[in-house]
Amino acid sequence: MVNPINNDDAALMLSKFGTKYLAEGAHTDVSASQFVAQVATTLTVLTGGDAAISDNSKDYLASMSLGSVELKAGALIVAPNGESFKSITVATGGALVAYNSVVEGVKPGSFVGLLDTYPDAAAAYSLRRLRANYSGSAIRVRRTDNTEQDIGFLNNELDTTSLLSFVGSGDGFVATWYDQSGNGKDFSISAANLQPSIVNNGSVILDNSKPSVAFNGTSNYLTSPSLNLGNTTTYFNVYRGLTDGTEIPFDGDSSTNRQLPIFMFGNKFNINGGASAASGQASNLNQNLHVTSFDTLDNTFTNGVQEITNANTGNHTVTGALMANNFNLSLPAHIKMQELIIYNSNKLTDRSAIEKNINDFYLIY
Amino acid sequence: MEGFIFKTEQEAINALKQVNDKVNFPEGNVTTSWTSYNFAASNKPSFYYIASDKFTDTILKGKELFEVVYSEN
Repeated sequence: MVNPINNDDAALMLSKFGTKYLAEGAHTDVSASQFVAQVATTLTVLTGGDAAISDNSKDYLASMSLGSVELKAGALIVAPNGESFKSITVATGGALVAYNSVVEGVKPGSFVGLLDTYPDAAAAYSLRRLRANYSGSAIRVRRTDNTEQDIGFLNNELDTTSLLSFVGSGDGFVATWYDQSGNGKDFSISAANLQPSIVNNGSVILDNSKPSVAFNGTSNYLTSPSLNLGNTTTYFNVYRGLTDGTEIPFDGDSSTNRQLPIFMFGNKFNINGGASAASGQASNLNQNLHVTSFDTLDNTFTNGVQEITNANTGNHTVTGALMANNFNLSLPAHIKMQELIIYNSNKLTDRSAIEKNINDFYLIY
Repeated sequence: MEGFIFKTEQEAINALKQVNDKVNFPEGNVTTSWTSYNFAASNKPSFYYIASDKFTDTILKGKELFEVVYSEN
């Protein structure tokens, strides 16, 4: 259903609906009013009733006739007051941001990733595709003869066919876990014997039937030197502790710039937002979906259930970061990890919906 | 932990090179080293070290058992 929108009430609508990202391949019925092309974008546009595309010709490269419309990057597409677009289809390679508009509906069969629906992640690591427009690989893998190869996606999940074809009957290690957010904040490590595993003796390492990255608890970790996170962040993390010790999936890389979203310590799940730390429920060795929101009031949720609430007024920004180790590299974690999505903002409003997206895929709880 | 202790960073670099000279890393690799060396800054006296593994053990001599002190600050 399309919610009606009055263009003379645009400010209210912006406040009410915010912005929506209309990714490549998306097909949607939309109410007016304004879109901006993120890149050069071809659209197929139908207007409803007497509506026409605004005569804002300087923003168009080509025809404004109904049908195919070519926009240059940054171009506006605006419907006049009281009129609305009936539908817009974004061609391959295009991307729109809708302002003051209600965007609903997805072209049947087209892929929509978590980051298409909930964009603006600071960084995002997964063994599934998180964004329709993401054209990079999931991971870079080293096999035992030290040759490396990027491994991408097949049907929007890790291409395990290519992975096993490359690794063969030996072992495969993750040299780089690519950031799918578009911000280039990859996690990697250049030392071979510090790299976590993805294939063991010719078999993909799985957790609950999905590929996972295994950190051995003695030496493995990855590093991202310039993640640059502020004091308000939200982490969505799917991992399983393989021992119930001190298992830290994420930390800043210096003693004065730390954020530890839910980690295992003292047989409990804990958080540490710089100077402010807190403990929650008993830890376990299950595959869990942990959500940690660092703000002036930290919050955690495990498998959709709220656990820790803790005031946090201190500074806890992060510059560089470590995956599966603590800031001084003294506590390599013994875990399997499948997904880590980080927002440089408070995403508690969208928490339930993002959790549902993740759990619908991993079937954790 | 078990590993190899060095008094100076240069000694650790030399030992790491000795290990890496036995390994072939193709051009364009992310992986450029077999392992890494670390600095035990909070130990008295401080030292550099390379952790033991089955490959370094075949190349480096003088493996020792030692404890690395970590500071929270």
